[in-house]
Formats: sequence, structure tokens, C-alpha cells
Amino acid sequence: MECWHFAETTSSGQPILRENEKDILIDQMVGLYHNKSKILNRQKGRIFLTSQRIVYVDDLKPTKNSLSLELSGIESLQFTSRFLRRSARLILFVKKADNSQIVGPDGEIRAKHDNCITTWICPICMMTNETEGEFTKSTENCPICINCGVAADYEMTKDSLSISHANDYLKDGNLENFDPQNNGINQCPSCTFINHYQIINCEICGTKLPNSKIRHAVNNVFGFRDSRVHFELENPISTSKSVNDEVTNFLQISFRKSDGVLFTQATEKTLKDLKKTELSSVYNKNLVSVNGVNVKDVGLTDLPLLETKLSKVGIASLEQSGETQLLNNDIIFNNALTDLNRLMALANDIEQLYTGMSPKLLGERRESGHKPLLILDREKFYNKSLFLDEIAREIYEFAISEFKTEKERLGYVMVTLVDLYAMYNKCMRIGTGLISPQEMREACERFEQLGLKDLKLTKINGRVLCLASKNSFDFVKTKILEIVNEFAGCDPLLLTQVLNSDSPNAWTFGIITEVLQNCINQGDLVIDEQISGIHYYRNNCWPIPS
Amino acid sequence: MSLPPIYSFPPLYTRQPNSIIRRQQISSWMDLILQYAKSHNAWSMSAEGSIVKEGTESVQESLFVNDEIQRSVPQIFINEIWSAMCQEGKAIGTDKGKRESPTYYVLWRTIDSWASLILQWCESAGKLQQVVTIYELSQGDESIGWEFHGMPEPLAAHCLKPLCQRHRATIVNDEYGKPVAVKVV
Repeated sequence: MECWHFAETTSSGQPILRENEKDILIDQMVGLYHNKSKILNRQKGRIFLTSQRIVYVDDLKPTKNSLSLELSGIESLQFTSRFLRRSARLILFVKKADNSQIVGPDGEIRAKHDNCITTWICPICMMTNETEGEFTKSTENCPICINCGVAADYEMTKDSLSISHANDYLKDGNLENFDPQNNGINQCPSCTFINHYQIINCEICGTKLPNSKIRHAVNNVFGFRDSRVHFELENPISTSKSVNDEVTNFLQISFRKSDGVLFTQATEKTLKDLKKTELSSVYNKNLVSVNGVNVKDVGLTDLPLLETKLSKVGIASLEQSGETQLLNNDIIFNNALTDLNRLMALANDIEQLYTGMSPKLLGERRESGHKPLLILDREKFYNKSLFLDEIAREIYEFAISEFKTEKERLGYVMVTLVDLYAMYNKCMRIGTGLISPQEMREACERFEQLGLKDLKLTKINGRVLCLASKNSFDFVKTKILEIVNEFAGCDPLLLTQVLNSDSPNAWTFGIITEVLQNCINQGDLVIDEQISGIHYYRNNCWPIPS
Repeated sequence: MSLPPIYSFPPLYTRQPNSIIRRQQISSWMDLILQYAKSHNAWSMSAEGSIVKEGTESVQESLFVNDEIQRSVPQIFINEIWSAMCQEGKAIGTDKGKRESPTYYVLWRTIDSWASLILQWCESAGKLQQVVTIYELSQGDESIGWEFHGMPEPLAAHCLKPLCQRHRATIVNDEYGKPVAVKVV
């Protein structure tokens, strides 16, 4: 059961991805099985295939019941198609290494002889290898270096040998064999951050850490479990039995609605790619050229700066070629200069943007600013409705995070759909295809259906659509009436300034105008129209007959 | 003479978009006009809001312009106020038959109450059963001290109409059809 991990999700039910993780495909209405039994409360949800994980997000309780599965922990997969009432299933076989050392809750059962890992350095290529089992003088089949493919010689490698018994980690007093130089420190190869030794992905940059097998083994021996993962099986199996019988562990994903073929193919491809990249980091490192052909395109190296071929003869032709040469050079220089100017302008823009935004980024949105986001491409979805569902979740999340401060301070959020549409398309949809206003509206109408309850699509004054939290309209209205009471004859500018004195852009002008309109229609406010603009007063003189 | 505090409320000078509020706003204006006219003893006002005294040039400032708070009512809204006043019988246009006229008679009493007041005068002054010229009625020495003294003659003739309808009076016209005298019975 250790293969299941807790998956963090947003409140709107979208998985939070790691750094460098990309989502690939989404499928709806799936259920999870462990071995042959159903996992309770995990029978209706969406499944996300990402470049690193398979994430299950529960439809009912997305923040509590979501699970994820590391792709690196999957050995192979198999697909069974729909047959009569049996829905299509994707069977994932989990790597044995992860499960062979399953420890019961009491910690008694421990795997036997191969529960230790030897690290050795190949004397030929200096590659650090990890092999299961003890590598001693008496070992018959010498391990083979994964880099150069030559079997290791005990005599030559014995200096670099370090055998880590998983059991050793259990007892604090028995740490002599545990070499802190090699194993204890779990340094990230790309950013050099020293992580906790049980962590698989770097905390800072999300890079997959090496030697995870060793640490994972230790992890298992400790009986470490994420306290957030708790699920029950329909037909519970005793853990000890599964170990003794050496049952191969497998998981099943049951597709209740779709045929699951696409998802299976995508998973297969991702797994293959993952293996490929794993291998490519070992072989062909720092490769420059293959058979004399450059691997990386070095780019334009030879600009036609000098014309050497002269088709004509004589002084005239020499002069002519000299002139064309000069002309060409001019063009090139001009191009270079304009390019440079453009680059500088861009750099200036970026700098301005950064200096303008940095206090905001540092202050308010430090946490949510840099989270990688799902990329919701239209092509990933089987039909439009699924796409809209997913968009709805994203819009909800976007609105919540965008107005987080207001929400925390006031408890009320209100934004016109037009404003939100522009903000959303600008911030989230560039590069993934903008959505149409119609789609935006349809997506917003789905909030309730998807169980997103904080924001609701409402129509104010019977004409302007707004996303608002409950009672926010009355809240703004009383607030505006208070302000008008205090500053009799205030204009919209003053009103906006006073209303937003604590935080900029809490209430957009569009909202304020609509609320003012509503106040006038209700007879709460009267206007004084001047050339300088409209001034608002409380209606104290002409009572509305109720 | 001082006008009520609502006169210095700036929204009074803007036509309110809410129709229910606007009706009340207009009635506020009517009260203001009647009060203003009564306190200045003015029988008629120009459409621009200034008092018209017979024989004198109307150079007085308009009621619809408030210099203190620098507000004024736009002419379109003024016309709306006048037409509402005419509808409620609180003003009569001097040009008969036209919807808008340059001057209006302001009736701080209703026509009926003016009529009964005139009847009361006739009874107390012993003018029953005899012909009284309208000039005598409105400008004569005998009516000094009565509220309708100084009333313009066309308006006085108009005020007598309800009495005619009740068959208490007969109006005598001259050769041009202009009422000149009345006989109250």
C-alpha cells in the first residue's frame, strides 16, 4: 500500500503540481482498486496523468481523498477493455523493490537477505553503482557497471564499497556502517540543496534525487507512512499474507465512462519516455557530436560577411562587388542594431514589470505566485463539457487566489464577469488558447454543480453578471451608503478611493457603478448632476413609500 | 423671507432618474413655488421662475437659480415642473390653449377656494344681486384687505367660473367676448 501517496489539491479540486511537472491527460469518472478489491471512497473521481505521477482527485472530497502514484514506481501496465458490465480497466504493476520489503504495522516482518544495498564505484569509469544484495569477495555473479557494462572486480572496488543494511538505520546505536558522506546527505544534484534523506524530489527545485532506492528502502523499513493517506479496501487483505505469498502488487484504474484507451496509451508513452530520459542521463552524457554531426545546433556561424566569389572581372566589377559588400554589411549592422534595441526595450519592459510587481509578489502572493499550474488544452479533453468543467475549476481557483487578500480581510469578493474574463485570459490562457466569453459564462454557471460554493454567478441590476461571494452585494451597498453619509455629495472617484483605501482594486469601478445604480433605483441615493460629474447624496428628503 | 432648507439641497436641482423620487422632488418644487409666490404676494411668475409684476420689468432673480450653492434647474426640468403644476391646478398658463406659456398664474389657493372667498366678500359687502365689474372686484377700494385684492383681471374672471357653474354668478362679456363684470346672486 506504500505506493499510494497523498496528493495535494486546491480547494476547487485541481491537483497541485510539482516544479517541472506537467500534466498530460485527464480522464473522468474513474475508480481505484488495490489488487482486486475496491478502495472505498475512491470510486468516483478524475484521474490526471502528469509527467511524474498519476493523480486521482476525488469528486466529493478533493482535498481529503486524493491519491497519487509515482510513475517511477510502476513496473508495467496492462489494459483490459470493457466486457459486458465490467468497465475498462488499466492495470498497473508496481515495482517489486518498493513492495518486497513491506513491513507490517508492528514492524516485525522484515525482508530477508537482499534487504541491503551495496554502493560501489566502477574502477573503469568511476560511475557510482547501486546493486541489491551484499557484494563480498564470495559473491559469484559480480555486479555489472551500468555505465560501461564491465563486471566489477572485488579487489579493485573494495575501497569504494559501502554496504547499507536497511536494518542498520533502525537502530540508532548501530550507525558505524552508515557513511554520512555518501548516503546520509541527500544533496540535490542540480541546486545543491541538502534535503531530508527520505525525500524523493528536491524540495527547492523539484528535481528527482539520486539514490532514492536506498533511501526508499529505509523509508519502508521505518514503516513510514504519510498520515494523510488513509483508505479502506472493500475486501481487506492482511498485509503479512501478501508479503508471504509474494503476490505481485498491482493497482487498477477502472474507467466508468470512457473506454480508457487514450489514457492507457498516454501512460504507456509517458512511462517509456521516463525510462528513456533516465537512461539518457546515464549514457551519452555531455555528448557533443555523433559521427561528426553536432548534437546541438550551434546556430549561425558563418554570416556572409565577405564575398569571395567574383563572377566578373575588371576594376568596375571589383568596385561593384565592394559596394554590394558595403551595402550588405550595412544591412547586417542595421539588423543587429535594431535587434539590440528591441532586446533592450524588452529588457526594460521586463525590468519595469518586475519592479512594479515585485512588492506585490513578495508581499501578498508569495505562496501562490510560483506554483506550476495545470495546462488545460482543449485537445486534452474528450468533449466540451469536460473542458468546461476543468476550466470552471481553474477560474474558481484563479478568482479565489486573485482576491485572496480581500477575502481574508473583508470576507466578501465581487468582480464583474467582464473584468474577470480579461484578467483570466491575460493571466492564464495565453499560450493555451483563449476562451470565449460564452465559455466563460458556461463555466461559471457550473460552479454549484461542481461543489464550488464560495463564489456564485449573480446578476445585479438585472443586467451585469458578477462573480460574488454570498451577501457581498449588500455588504458593498451598506458600505457605500455609509461613505455617502459621511461625505455628502461625493463623486464616484472619491467613493472609489475611500472604498479602496485599505487595498487597491478590492472593488472595481464596474461593481461600484452598478451598486450606485441599484441605490438610485431603490431610492437610497439621489444625484446631483454637474458638469464636473455626478455627485451622490443620501435621500433624506423624499421618502420612498413602501 | 427664508426658504426651507431643502432649497439648498443640491440634488433638488437635478432631475432624479428614479420616477418615484422624481414625483416627490416635483412636489417639493411646487411647495417652494407656492410659498415663494405667496410670500412675495406675486400672482404670476415667468416660466424662468422670476416674479412678474404688472407694469414693471421683470428683472428679479429666478427662484430656479440658487447662487449660494451655485446650482440651477435646467429649463427642460422647469417646464416639467410647470406642466405638473398646471395638471394639479396649482398654476394656470396665461396663454390659453397652449401647453407652455411664457408666464403662469400661481394659485396658492385652489380656484374653488378663491371662488368661495369672492362669494364671501360679495355677501359681506352687500354686492349680491347687482353687477360688479371685475376691476372693482380685484382693484377697487372696497376689496382692500381681502386676499384677492390685486388679482389680475383675467385670473379673477377665471376664479369666478366655478360660481357660474354653481349658478351663483353670471359673467357679463363685452363686445370682444372679454369678461368685464359679474353678477352674483
